Amino acid sequence: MSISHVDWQIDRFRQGSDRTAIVWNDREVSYGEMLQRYEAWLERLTAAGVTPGCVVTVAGDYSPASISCLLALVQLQCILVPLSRESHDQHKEFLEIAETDFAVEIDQSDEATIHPLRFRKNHGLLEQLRTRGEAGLVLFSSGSTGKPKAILHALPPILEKFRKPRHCYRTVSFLLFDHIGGFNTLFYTLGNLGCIVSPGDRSVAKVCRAVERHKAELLPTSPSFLNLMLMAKAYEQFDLSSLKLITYGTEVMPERTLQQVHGVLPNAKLQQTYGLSELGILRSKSASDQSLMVKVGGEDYETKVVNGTLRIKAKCSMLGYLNHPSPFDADGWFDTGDAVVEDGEYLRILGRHSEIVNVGGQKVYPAEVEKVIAELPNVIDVAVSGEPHLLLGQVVVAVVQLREPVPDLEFKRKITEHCKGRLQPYMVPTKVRVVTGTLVNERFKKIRRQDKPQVASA
Amino acid sequence: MDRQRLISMMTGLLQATLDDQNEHGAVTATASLPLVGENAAITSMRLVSFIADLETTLASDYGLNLTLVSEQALSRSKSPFRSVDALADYILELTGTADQAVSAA
Repeated sequence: MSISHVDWQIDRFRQGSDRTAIVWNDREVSYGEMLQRYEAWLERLTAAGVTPGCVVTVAGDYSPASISCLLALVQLQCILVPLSRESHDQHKEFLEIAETDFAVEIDQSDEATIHPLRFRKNHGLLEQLRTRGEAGLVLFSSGSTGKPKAILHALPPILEKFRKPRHCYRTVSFLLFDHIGGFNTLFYTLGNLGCIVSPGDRSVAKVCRAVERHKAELLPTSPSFLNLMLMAKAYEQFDLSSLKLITYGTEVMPERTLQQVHGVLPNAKLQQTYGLSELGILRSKSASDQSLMVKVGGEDYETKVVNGTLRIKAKCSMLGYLNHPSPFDADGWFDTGDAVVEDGEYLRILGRHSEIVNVGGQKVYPAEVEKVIAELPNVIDVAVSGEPHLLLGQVVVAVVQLREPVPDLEFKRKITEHCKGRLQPYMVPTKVRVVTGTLVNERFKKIRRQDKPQVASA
Repeated sequence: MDRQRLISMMTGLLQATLDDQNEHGAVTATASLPLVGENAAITSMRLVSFIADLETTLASDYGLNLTLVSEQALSRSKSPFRSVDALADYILELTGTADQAVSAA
């Protein structure tokens, strides 16, 4: 690399100084203003005692202050840890695991405070980065199973790929501030002098309103969000015709949702994405707008399927976890835990291996059952999971959100009837629970483990 | 708990399971219809489903949170799942134990 990524990026800011970098609170902030903010951050961070190699958390959302702060931290060769407001309850734990030296907090009015901390314990992987004089990135896995994992990346190889010119979009920053997909979207947009449209919160109304008002072209989102958008018929209330591309990932897309989105937004291309915090975002290509078959990879990735599970070897994968052993095998392959079926160069992602239900030795993929149940007219959403059973090992349990609630057993009968001829008998839910609350979490991912956390309130 | 009422509720649930498995009304649910073994009227998957329905109904209509498929049930020399009759006796036995536990507490 001849010049640092930030130097390159700042040159881009100068070239596009009149263009809008971010729309925040309905206010347009230009690349020129972002440049000034970035320079102010360099001074402020240095004055606060931030030096190369410091671990600095930045808690907030996509805003002029947070984005310019991240850039300044990269330039100062710090190890940055973006934290979203949604994970606030875990921040204390995160600060400690990441061995944080400084915590930057950015409030709702975009005012920032810097707090020096004393969590440094000279973790070997962090020391490696300090020795190399490279900026780093720590992301926390969502921790749906057990303790969250702190994922450490060296930043230069991640950022370098954003120098390749690609499409310039007005992009809704839907994915959260601490998400690998969100980080990817941010630097992709800045690298191409696009515009970040910050929706405020991620409710369907706020996001759709932001699309309408600011003529957003790209919406990176999740299938659960699209489902909620369809349910609310938000496409009737808001003009979403500016959308050229909707990318979806993070969970399995129900076929019905994909087809309905295509039906109501025929001009928007639908593109499945695939990425992991440990490996970054892979380049992907859907077979068509209405297809769940996807080709993943790109020049920096090798893929293979072993026992029905996708394994990936990445050129710039994480350095390792700060609080867990390395997950890579001796040859550098990472087991994604995602069950897939291959069709030539294309894959269909069936879901997490850990979510597969094993009924008396027969595998049930929750997404397959959810797809069939979702065909019933009264269903808003459905989450299928396994429940331990003494005779069968596990049985299939469906939690359904209905438009008009009916008793559990009555709806189970409807499901059983509907599943005849569509699913094998062992795939038909043994238990059905009707709920009124939504089945997605604050990250717009489906909550399948209904036996422990309760469904979120509507 | 009234045994006759319990059996009536259970045969109702069993009839729905039978109707789901066979043509509607092809097999009539009775309290003595074999549910396990060589002559079982329903498949093992349907039996599991029927027991789950029974647990749901006991919880919603009777306020009884019972786990019917347990080590205790499976270790018996005569299966409590062999018929509605046997299952009713088993439920009454369990609720009797539950009542004693409540009164002892």
